Amino acid sequence: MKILTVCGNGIGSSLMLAMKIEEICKEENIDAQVESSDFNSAQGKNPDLIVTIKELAQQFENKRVVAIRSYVNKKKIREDVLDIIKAIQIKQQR
Amino acid sequence: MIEKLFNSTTVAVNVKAKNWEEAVRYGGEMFVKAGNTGRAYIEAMIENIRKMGQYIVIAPGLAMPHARPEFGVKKIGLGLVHLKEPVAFGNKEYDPVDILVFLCATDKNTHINVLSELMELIEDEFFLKQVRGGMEKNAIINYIHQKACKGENK
Repeated sequence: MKILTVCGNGIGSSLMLAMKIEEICKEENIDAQVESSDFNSAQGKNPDLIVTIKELAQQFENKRVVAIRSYVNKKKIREDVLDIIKAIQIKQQR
Repeated sequence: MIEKLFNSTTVAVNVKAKNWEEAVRYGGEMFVKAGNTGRAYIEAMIENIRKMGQYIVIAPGLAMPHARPEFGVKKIGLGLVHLKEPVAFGNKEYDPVDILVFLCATDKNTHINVLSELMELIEDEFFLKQVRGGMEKNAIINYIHQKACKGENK
């Protein structure tokens, strides 16, 4: 599955978040391509899931978005994203 | 690689700042002095924080100010500022901030390795504790250098 992490700049926070999500997916044996992007470029992309902070999450329309509380705290990120990532995985395997 | 980016121009301790803006300006000036960015980058970092500031506070007491490459970034850079007195950024969970890690990058892809090394550093509780305990500038630079070299030998 394709996961896109998004922050305002696309060079710091979203990249760190992407690395954390990659680690989490690896630990859970989930096959995922994680990419990072700034908010504007993200509009033109079509990933299976967008991961970003609440303020930006609200601005996406017609996309599957999950809001995270932290860009770098792995425990919080795991709590916020793992269920939905697993759900998408199950759906794709059907 | 980060050991090449944290150097005597981009690391400062015992810095006095009245508020977050002064603290960010201080780090921005270091980048200008070191030739990493032009002055526009300072204003861009501040503007970013005004817009969605609290998210740059990424861990307890630790903020990572940065802005987009097109705001005058000349070459990739990292900076570290330890404040004498902490300042508030408006982040309920992680304020007040006394360690600022500055980042500037020329594009999104060239600095992935740098960022991954940086993440190891800012998750190094021992290091952060030492910095907060008054670690000297040269000791900080040496610590980062040694940590990076150990990493390469892994």
